[in-house]
Amino acid sequence: MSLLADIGVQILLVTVVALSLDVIVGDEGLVSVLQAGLVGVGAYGFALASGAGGGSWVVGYFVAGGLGALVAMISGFLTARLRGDYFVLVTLGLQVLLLEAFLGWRSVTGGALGYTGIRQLEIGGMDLGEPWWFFLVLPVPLVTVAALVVYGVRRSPLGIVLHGTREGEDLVDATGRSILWLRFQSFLVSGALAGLAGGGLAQYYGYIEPRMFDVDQSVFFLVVIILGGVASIRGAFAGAALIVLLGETLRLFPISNSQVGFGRGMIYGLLLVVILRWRSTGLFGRFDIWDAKR
Amino acid sequence: MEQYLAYGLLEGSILALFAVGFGLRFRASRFFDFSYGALALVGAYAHYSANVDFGWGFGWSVTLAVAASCLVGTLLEVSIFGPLRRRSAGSLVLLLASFGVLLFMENGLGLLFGPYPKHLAVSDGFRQVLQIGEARLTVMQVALMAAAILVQVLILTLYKRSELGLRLRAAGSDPQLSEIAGWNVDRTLLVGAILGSGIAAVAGILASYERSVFFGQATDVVLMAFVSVLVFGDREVWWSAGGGLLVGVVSSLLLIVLPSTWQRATVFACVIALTLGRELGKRIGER
Repeated sequence: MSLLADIGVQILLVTVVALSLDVIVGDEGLVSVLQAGLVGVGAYGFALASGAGGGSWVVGYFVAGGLGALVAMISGFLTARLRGDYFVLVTLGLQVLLLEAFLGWRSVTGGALGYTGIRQLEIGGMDLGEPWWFFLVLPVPLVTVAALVVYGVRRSPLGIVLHGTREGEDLVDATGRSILWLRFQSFLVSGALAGLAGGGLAQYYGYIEPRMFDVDQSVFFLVVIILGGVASIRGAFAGAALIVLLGETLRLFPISNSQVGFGRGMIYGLLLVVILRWRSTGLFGRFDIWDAKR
Repeated sequence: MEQYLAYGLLEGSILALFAVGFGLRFRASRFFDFSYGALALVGAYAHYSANVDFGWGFGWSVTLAVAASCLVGTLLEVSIFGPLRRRSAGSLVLLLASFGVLLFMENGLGLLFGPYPKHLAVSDGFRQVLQIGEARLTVMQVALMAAAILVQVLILTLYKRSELGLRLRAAGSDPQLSEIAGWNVDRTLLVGAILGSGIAAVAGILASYERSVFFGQATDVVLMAFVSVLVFGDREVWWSAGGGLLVGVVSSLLLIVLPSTWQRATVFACVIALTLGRELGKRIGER
């Protein structure tokens, strides 16, 4: 039974990251390869604030979301005038930079050895670290908030203007709106949600290491939203569920953990190529990834 | 200082070879092909298997490795990139597809050859240390540097002087005009992909003698090649070679003032700053 809860937690946390990434890809039409880095910033922020910092786990989530938003806004500022390939490549560079910082800043992050002793979920002295409790208390409210925020953004004037930039940035620029300010806002939402998901991930596993936030992981999150369908909340849920279940299916085979990891990587890579080649709107997509800003 | 410079030149010359292949692919097909890292790894693993597991001689192992990498490169071009391009896929879609291929192949090679690094043994003669001024390098390291430079000179001469080079450059700068000139762009890009795969294999083999063969290197290799190409911006292939050499030397010299854990982050930060500065300058120029 706890296996089901574990899968549920994984699906919902991946969905939160997928929703956060969809604000950039689906609403702005920009392909970002930075999301795993932002999740990592949230995870380390949570670990430091609630562990070494001595704060409660609630404070940890505030720090995780805040740090994720801050780093995302800086990235948004740096990439404000980029689109197409160059946006992808600079976000890729920033992703590598964050990963190197997680590895290199040993005194804070623990370097390649990782960070342990992360504060467990507890309310009023009651330990809620067990998968079912954790599933109900954290990922369910978190994914609900994330879905409502993304839904709200899409229905708000900001969402409408963002969709305008997706279709033609120069046209929105010509109306006198600041592209830089729009990008700040979308990155703020995306970074805060990714940071919160990072906090959830750190608290659930109780251990984080840089490898969990590398380039491959960023590509994995892209696969999730492209598979589910870009610019669709339903798509983020479907993509996350399908990918996590596919990955978990490999555990049914009598193979080692490293072989499971390799098998998952192969499936994700193959899925990305297949979707791009034959069904670029994914399962429920409302925006074709082929039309992303060039 | 001289020792750091010598290591930098060694790393830089191999990185420059990676960058030449990556840059050549980019110049011809106008997208950053991240599957290049996996092709280098195919070459490195094929060479290791033939040389160590099957006991083949060095020459035959290298030939097999280059052939294997070229075959995989051809399959990728024929089954994935070519069809996408014919459906008018933009460079962004091709770039994303190449991420997928990299992920698939990197993990596939990890599954086939295991998660641990594989080391190539060299004879005692190659382990002898040479004193060059204040720096010390082994015979193997000097041979690797010489081989990397020699292959680069050959490739760049081919690119500059031959009709194939002319066709590759033409396909990259104006595919429609190339078609009008009677050159089949698809065929030219296929030949370019095969040539790039061959260069990736040779660079992968040289790197495996300098370090080891490890599945995770595919992403590392392609990131460093990509950074090398970006250093001097969207210019001709020989600039990519210069970028690779510069990145290698600067990375090594950074170790004098920085701990090794910050080496790559500093290089990436500098190249991102350069790229952003160049893009900003271009925008200001346009206005």
